Amino acid sequence: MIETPVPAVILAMKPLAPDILFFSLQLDTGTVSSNFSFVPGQFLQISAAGAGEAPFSPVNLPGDDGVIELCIRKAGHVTAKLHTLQTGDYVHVRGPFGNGFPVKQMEGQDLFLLAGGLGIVPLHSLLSYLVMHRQRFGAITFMYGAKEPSALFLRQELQDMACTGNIKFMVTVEFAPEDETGKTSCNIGLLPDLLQGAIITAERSYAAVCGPPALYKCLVGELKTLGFKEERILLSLERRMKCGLGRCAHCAVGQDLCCIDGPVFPYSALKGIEGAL
Amino acid sequence: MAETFLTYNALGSFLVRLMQIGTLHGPTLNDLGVLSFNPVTSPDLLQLNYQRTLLPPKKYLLPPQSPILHYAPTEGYTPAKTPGDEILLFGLHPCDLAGIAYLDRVFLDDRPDPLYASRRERLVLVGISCESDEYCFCGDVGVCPTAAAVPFDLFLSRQDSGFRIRTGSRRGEEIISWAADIVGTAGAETRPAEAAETARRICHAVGKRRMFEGSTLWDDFAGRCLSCGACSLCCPTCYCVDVREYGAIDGQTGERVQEWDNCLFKAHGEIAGGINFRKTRQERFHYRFLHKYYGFGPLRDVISCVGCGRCRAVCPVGIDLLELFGEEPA
Amino acid sequence: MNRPVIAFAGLTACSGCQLTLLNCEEELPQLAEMFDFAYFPMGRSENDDCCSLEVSFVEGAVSTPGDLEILLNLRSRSRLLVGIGTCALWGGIAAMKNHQPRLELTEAVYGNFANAVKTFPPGPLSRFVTVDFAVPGCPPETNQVMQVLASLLHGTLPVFPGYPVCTECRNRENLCLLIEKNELCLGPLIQSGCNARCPAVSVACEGCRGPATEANVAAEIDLLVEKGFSREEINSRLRRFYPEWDNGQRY
Repeated sequence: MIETPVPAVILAMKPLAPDILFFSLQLDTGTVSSNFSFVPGQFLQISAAGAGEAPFSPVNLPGDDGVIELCIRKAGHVTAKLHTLQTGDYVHVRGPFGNGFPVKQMEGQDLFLLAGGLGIVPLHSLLSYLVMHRQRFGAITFMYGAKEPSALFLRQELQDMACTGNIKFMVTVEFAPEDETGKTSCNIGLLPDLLQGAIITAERSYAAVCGPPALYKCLVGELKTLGFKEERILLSLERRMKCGLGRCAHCAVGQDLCCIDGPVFPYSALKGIEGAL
Repeated sequence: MAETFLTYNALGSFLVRLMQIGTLHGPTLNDLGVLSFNPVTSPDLLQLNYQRTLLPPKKYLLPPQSPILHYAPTEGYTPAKTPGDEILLFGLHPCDLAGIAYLDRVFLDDRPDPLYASRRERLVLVGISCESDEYCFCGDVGVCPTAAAVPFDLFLSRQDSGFRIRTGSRRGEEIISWAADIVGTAGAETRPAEAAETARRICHAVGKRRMFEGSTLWDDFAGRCLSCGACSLCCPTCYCVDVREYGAIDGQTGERVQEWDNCLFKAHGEIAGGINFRKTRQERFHYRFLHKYYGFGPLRDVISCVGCGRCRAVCPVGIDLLELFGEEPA
Repeated sequence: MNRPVIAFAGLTACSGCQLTLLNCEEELPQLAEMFDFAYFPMGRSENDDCCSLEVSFVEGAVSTPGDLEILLNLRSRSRLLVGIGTCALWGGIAAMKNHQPRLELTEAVYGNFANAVKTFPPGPLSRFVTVDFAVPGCPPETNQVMQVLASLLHGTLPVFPGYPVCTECRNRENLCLLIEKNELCLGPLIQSGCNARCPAVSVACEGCRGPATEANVAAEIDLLVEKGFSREEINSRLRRFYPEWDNGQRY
């Protein structure tokens, strides 16, 4: 784990939406070989010098090549600065922090990955891992919901992974403008609606969920109705982790710290905790 | 090592001896009547019969604001330097020592912080016994059930004719040996110490996982709280910090600073986009209560109220979380 | 390196906020090196009225057609507009009497010529244009003005804490004038950033920086009434720098 921020050069940037940029970063090789290994669902602290630091989960599964991919929405002073940077500029990186998804525990099980909006980020990373170790897992279903088709980020990459990895891939949007052919380009409906048609053996399945807070409340209910045990519903929480090391106490959820005990929690650990979801 | 005894007459010489060892800091009173830990140039300036300082000794270990990283384009981010000279912190009450014990667990044991460690390393802790007032409850060193084990290099227990001195470290023993001509051997004179009733009541209620959900006090607290932050700032164990970065006017370098935060501030539970996981003040009080009495993270189930009484004493509207325990049947 | 082209301008105000910048004597040479002060009527004789601006810093409340003209001109030329000082941010001192009829006020000053004076009730910049950032204070603290300028060079804007003056006051271990002296101190309601400048010298907070993020106005008033202050006195103190307190606001 990297404790003091180290430089990473921006290899590429591309806009995903007016306020969202995709970044590809390269850590130097010395850093990577020394102490950098990563579990999907963990997060990194990214610094923009002179502005500060903010936590992000990578989109990819950072490996030996030291490449980190991020999706960054312009939402505050740090992300605003990140959006002003250009290819060849440097950011600084600490981490990884947190527990990540319990991938060992998920082996041999059927998996339901449910992403809402920019919640796609850690689940894209998880999916990369699952595809890489495809034979260790049972049936995999990936459900992705967004406001509108243009907000389904990384759709093609996900589609490609789904094809190569034998993964059921479904997308849905809340509304869709008609395209030139007079047709909508996507299913219209809410994410929980997709679950209703799914064939699920809940006792040998895990659900991994990431999305805006409002999504969790309705999805948890839906998953429980389908028979999922509370400890098999895994939620990745968003908090403003300032340190990532459990020192600033900014990300506490009940008696847990999101940066150490999380950010991935089974619903059973969050149930009844005020302010958890 | 045997306990030693310091007569009241010899106290002055003992303090002068301490000043020869390192910089002496202790409770002092300023012109306006504020009690605080400060460096002293003469032992006469020390307040030995004080009730409580405004800020706890936490300020020596986790200052209100302190740089943590420096940025320069050539070097990148580098950790902030820490000052090195030894400080003899004299006159710490048992509650404040318990506060340091708690911070040590957080920043030395569970989540080692080099910056904290270097600041802690340079402190010599000299404790002194005290009398409870209407706000505090710890009783005496080692007897409070909410804070049993406390660190000290030396601890002075007030007796009728002087102080019984206990040593709690090798450094403490060294200091006593340097002052061997001033201290004597301890006699039989001791005052019994016992924990206050409040501490017992807290432990009892916490043992039963009482959260006082139905209490009307939550709404009362929330309605009155001015969100001024005093309760956390003045708490010996509150360690929440916020982190900011300030770019310099050269347009190149910058400094990352951490500063005390408070869980009763609205921004504490906020994330990007203004979503807040503790929107109401009631929720923030629940959160504060849970963390103070039930602990969190690696210190889950460790009570972090050391009974110093500061939060009550510094609250402009007199909010006292301990009132909740008054609702616990005896 | 590109020097950001900036403006410093004043509307209805005392010019004290602009003076805050000029008072940064040690930093002025460096500021002149780092920034192109294209429009700064208080600081230079020749000003560019037409060029595009990276940032405009505007002091003062808007209370005349002339003010509005300057403000709209700067806004339309600038990428960012930063209000500096309490008048620009909240209306400030000039808006203290906004609850009284305008004509009555102008008559008190200009007598029979009152009708010829073209003014309207002073208001903050945000009532007329989009304000990207604001530095509170009467006058603002030099270090906060410098932080804004420095942050701009780093491609961002600073984050000022939203907590009240009390927080900084406690951190400095000042005597609490509210608790210990029963004074009419507005510390709990007022935006920090001044490092409790006044309470540090035993002067109660007068509220020059405007409201903190979460001001429990009702509880502060309850407390002051309990201490024996009249509601009239409390209201008059509250309104001195910020005319629009909601006295019933508790949460």
